[in-house]
Amino acid sequence: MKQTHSTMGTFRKSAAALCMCAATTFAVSTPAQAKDGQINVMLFAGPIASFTQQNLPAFEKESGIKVNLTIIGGEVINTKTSTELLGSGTSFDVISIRGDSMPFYGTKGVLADLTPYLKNTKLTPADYDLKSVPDALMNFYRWDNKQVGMPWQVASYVTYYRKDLLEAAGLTHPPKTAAEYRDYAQKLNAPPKVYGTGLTMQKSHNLTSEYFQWLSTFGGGVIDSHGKVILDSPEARQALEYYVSLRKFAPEDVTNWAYERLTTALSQGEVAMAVQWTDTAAVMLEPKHSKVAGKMAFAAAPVAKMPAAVIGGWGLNIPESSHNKEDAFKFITWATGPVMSRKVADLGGTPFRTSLLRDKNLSVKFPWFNAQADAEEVAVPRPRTPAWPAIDDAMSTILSRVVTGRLSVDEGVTRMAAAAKKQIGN
Amino acid sequence: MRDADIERKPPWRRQVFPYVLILPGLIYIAVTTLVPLVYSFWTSLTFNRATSTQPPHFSGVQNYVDVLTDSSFWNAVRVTAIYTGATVAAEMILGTAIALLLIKLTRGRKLVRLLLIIPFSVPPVVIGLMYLLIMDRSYGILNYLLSLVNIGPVSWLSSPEIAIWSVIGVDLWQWTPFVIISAVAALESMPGDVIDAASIDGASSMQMVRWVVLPLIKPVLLVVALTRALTSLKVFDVIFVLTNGGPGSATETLSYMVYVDAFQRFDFGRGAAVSWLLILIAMVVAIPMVRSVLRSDVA
Repeated sequence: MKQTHSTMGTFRKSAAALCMCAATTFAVSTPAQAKDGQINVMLFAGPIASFTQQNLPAFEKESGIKVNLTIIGGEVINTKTSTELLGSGTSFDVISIRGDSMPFYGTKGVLADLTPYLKNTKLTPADYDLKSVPDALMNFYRWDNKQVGMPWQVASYVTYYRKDLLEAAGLTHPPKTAAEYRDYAQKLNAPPKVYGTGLTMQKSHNLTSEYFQWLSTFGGGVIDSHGKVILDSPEARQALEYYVSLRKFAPEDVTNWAYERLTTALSQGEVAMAVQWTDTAAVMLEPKHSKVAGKMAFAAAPVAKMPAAVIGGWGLNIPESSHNKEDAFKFITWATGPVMSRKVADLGGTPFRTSLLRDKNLSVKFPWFNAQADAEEVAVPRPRTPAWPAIDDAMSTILSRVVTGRLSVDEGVTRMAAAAKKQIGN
Repeated sequence: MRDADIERKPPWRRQVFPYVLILPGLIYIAVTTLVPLVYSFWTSLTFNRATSTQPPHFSGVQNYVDVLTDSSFWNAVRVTAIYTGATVAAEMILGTAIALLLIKLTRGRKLVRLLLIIPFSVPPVVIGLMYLLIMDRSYGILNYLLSLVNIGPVSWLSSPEIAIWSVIGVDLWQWTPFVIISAVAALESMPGDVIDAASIDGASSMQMVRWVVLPLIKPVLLVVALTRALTSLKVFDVIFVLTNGGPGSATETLSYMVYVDAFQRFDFGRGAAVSWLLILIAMVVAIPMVRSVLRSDVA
């Protein structure tokens, strides 16, 4: 009997270990409702969130508002945000949300309209300088004539290229067109030492975004101005054929590369070029982490038929259910204000204010600032439809099958169009 | 309350009393388990898509019809079946075999057992991140080791043909130790006189394992197999970190599909329908196993 007990004990211990594992997975707690003079803030993890955290004591001292900060990374924050906002009301007063989700949350009516706060001179500091925030960015966080968020962390697709490798190959300027980009990728492709281009073809929104960049410059789109799905247009077909053709000059495992892995590949000199978001550019300049410091340069994304730069990033939003909206708005004006923006820019964080992006001293120090400013002039937002999260996911599954050769380009565009039509209902 | 006090009560009260005692537990289980189950079943019968402008409404079995006629569901069933079948079979065979060797260790068995706890005590997300580095085609140690014997590089996670086996490999690393520990515990609790009797009767080592040891530890192995089958059917976290269900749909399991439908596409009705189909599949797998466990217990 004693031996049986010992067996049961082992089982119990194993079960306890199992429960521990299950309980610790993805456990992100929600704080209690903030008291007066306090706010709960949830930010997307990244350099700007860390910087905001470091500077928080100054804000708390100046404003008298205590900030309970939660920082969450990766896809987890998207799931957390949806469960917080679509449930019975969240205790967060400020949430950073991906810009392309604005139509979705905007339609649900779960985000507060910041327009009255922006117009209120008592709440919006005189030096907030809204004029230096590009319209394209403000519109990115607008839905149904309501300003449902403010830009905070922005990024656009630009070309990252190794100027030393281009020079060695006799290429005198960065690739300006899509055809040139592919030619360059072919010329620079010298595996296993260096590959012509890096790509983010893992089944995720990175894949959809990257394809959407090429789709936009080929003159295509997901929906037209009447809301009709155009994912099977000739332009979409051309864009996908072109995108798939780049894989020949990329490492074989790019079909499992997301944004972070591409950043590593660029900074470790594994790939010569990539069309990538600007918010990882600072990593390239750090000699401690980057083998390409001083060798990486930046230019506008290659153009096929029309200049286009898909715009992305994270905004700061106030849930409609917040009990401390005014304090939350004060936090937003501080975190996105000119002083913090300048501090972020001085450290190499991509600012969203044109005045900083075009600052000559800063653009010498951080060479992608000009490319970002140019990108904002031809900014393309992701489709402005509440169904976008569902379309994005359906597209990523189909695109992943196309880039791994499981589906032809023709089948891919047809299926993407069908999936989008099902979501939109046309 | 003393036994004598209970015996003094009328018979009907004596019969009711145990139920009164377990009532708080029953209420707790009902609230935390049954209510969400019933709610999710109701959700599966509604059109409840957050990306749609239509409000949630009752749609009967439409979600089930949609799911069952969708090739991605059958792909997820196939992937889940391969994953569960391969992991449970390999872990049971490997785990039992290693346990039979381990039981012969006279020194250091406790230390080995302690080390074996590590893989299944680590959160799956951490394991996923660890293997993301180990299996990286360019920088991963796995390909480095293979390169020493002129093999590879292998695209562990980016090839649709290989990715599912890589994920299965990670599961084997994590859960085989659990089977070993359980089997060792069962072996240690075997009655020694039966083994002695078999030895005296001249049974060879193989005969001893086949006809004496395995039948004796069968009840434990069945419970372990049942636990492993149910956790494999629900696998999500490691796949989420390693492959996102890709490349294509090569590693998209039913649990991952529930996540995608409910939290990526915000189609809660469809997500609930897939989760109920997963429950049905789990029951189909579990019921015969539970019967075997009960039969072996009785035997």
